[in-house]
Amino acid sequence: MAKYIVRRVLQFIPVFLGVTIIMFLLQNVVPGDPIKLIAGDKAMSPEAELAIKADHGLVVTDENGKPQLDENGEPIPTPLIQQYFNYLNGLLHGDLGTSYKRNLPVTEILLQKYPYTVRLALVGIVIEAIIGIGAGMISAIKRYSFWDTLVTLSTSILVAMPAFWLGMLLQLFFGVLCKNWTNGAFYLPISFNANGEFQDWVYYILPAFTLASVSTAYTSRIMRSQLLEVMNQDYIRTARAKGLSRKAVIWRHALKNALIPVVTYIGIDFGVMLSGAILTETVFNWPGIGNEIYLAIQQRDWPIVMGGVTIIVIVVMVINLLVDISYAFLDPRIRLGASNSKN
Amino acid sequence: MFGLGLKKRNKTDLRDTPIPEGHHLLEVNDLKMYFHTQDGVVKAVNGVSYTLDRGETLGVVGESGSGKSVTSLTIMGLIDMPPGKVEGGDVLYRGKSLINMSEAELESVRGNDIAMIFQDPMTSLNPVYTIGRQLSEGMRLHKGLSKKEALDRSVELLRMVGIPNAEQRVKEYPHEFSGGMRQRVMIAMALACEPDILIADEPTTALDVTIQAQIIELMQELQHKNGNAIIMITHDLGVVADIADKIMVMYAGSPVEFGSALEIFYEPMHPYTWGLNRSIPKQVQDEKKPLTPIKGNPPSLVDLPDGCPFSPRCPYATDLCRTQKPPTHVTKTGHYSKCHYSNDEQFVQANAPKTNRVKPGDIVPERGVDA
Repeated sequence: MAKYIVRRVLQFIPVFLGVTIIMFLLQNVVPGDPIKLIAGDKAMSPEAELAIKADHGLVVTDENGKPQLDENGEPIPTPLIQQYFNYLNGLLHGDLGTSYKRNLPVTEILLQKYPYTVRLALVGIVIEAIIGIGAGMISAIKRYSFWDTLVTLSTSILVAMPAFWLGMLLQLFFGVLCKNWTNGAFYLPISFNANGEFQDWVYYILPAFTLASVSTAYTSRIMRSQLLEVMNQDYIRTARAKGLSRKAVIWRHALKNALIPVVTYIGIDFGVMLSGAILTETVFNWPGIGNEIYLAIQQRDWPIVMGGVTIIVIVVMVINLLVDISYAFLDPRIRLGASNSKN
Repeated sequence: MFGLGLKKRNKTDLRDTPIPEGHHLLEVNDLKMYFHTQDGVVKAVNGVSYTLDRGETLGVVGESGSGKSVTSLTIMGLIDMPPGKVEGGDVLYRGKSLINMSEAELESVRGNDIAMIFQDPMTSLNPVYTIGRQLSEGMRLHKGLSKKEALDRSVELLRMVGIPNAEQRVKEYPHEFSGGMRQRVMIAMALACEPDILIADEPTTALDVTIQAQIIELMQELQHKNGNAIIMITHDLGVVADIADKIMVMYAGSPVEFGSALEIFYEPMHPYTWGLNRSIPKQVQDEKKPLTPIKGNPPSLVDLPDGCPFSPRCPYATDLCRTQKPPTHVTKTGHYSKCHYSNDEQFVQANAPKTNRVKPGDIVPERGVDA
């Protein structure tokens, strides 16, 4: 097992380098000069612009941080490869650079935003697991019943609905049409207390539901088809032949087998949620990492984009590893495979 | 959540009640199990009758789709209804009807009084639980044993079915066992609660030939020890020949011939039984000589022929066979056959295959030539 984990962690390196290099190249291809954007409509003096570039390591500087000039008196742009190595070097020291726009360390900005994304993802994954697995089970156990039809129909609708549209509809319904009834409980602009903390968990419900909507529908469908498939297996008949009741057979024998692929799906989806749902967070103006990255892209604030992507890549890789490890705990056949690779 | 349904049911076991006067251990009376499907009514079991006593072995022989398995699954109450429906007949266990039993009552019979072994040991065990846990389950349910007691007994059972290093093996998972070993586990599981009746549904079909004999011997040995009855379902007359006391030959959902093993092998009366007999490979047969198959396929169970169901494939069929259901011809010993011509001794004498099996009591010339 230990060797398996080490091997998987080593696989992180090429994936991480690949993703960040692509991001790095993309930000240099996208039109728009981020430094000029800082000044907005106003003109910026060339000296000021050069100083900012020097601060962010975009031009070659001497030991004192002064920009170096070439023979024509022009600043020398830092080669891309050098910029990338600077980024990696900074990352190893826990430094993701400084925001162009806000002149704050990226780590500080992201550390402030990320907890909101994490909490939203946690609420979302709980909704997905409970509703998804529950609906899937009911649908499979009461196959072809009214409930099965209801679940099938509603999952089809949810899958077909883009998250941002669903989010807007929910806002419209709970926040505007039912304003008097809900008293603004489900959706109102998020309010913070004096410490900048959320005041109420109620604000999580609609965004988390929107975030989890499509994957909840998929979870319930996977659960339904898995449970139906497992119920047809020979070992279920064996369990019935032992004298177990139908209920005991479902809980003791069918569920664990049916859950294996569902847990994988939910786990991977948790990684996706933790990487910040740009659409959901934007629609609900959620102060999370997804919204932050979206704003940063608009403003060409590349250090924040790079920093955000860096965190997302690492989180997704770690979550996927955890999912694979948990898979081995659910399915003994895989556990053996993992310990075989040790030998 | 995982404790659900594992409380000992505080009913007395049915197998401790005496068999009422005039009844057998198991009586199947004209049992009919139909499946209502979109294509019509599938008459999977259409009038099966037999009796079984303790210590006896009944062999049920027939092709795929002849209703062998459905009959035993009906006895166990393991057919989903709907689409299945018992259209008539009854199954009496110690004089008590299994068909009219409530689901809760049936659950205390299943695995306890009547246990079953299935065809494919590779898929019949739950892959995510240890062997010990799966063996324990039935004993905890029916005998109210504690986890520890049940596990200790599981080790004993594994030893009994000849699995070495049983203490270690109970902690392992099904994928760590070979096919033959898994079938031994299935047998141990079925015998865990010392059932009255063991139903074995093609227990050796999925196994290597070398393992087949071991499994059969094991079942016989344990029957000897426990005195349980066995219903052995198979499509292989050879398997049944060695162990069955009685044999029922099934075709298209109903029995076509029933008798003692000796009668079925030495005095078969039904052309279908003859056909099955001819298709057993003979050990001393010239290897170039082909087997004699029964031509054609079994009829659709939705749309049975008007007359004898075997008539489309029967080489001796006449117009009478094609238009009228055959009567049941019963001999003094209870040996019966459903054929219009079974009472015609000359016809039977002339066409029944001569077996090369040695009848018990005959003087065996030399081993290797016969048997």
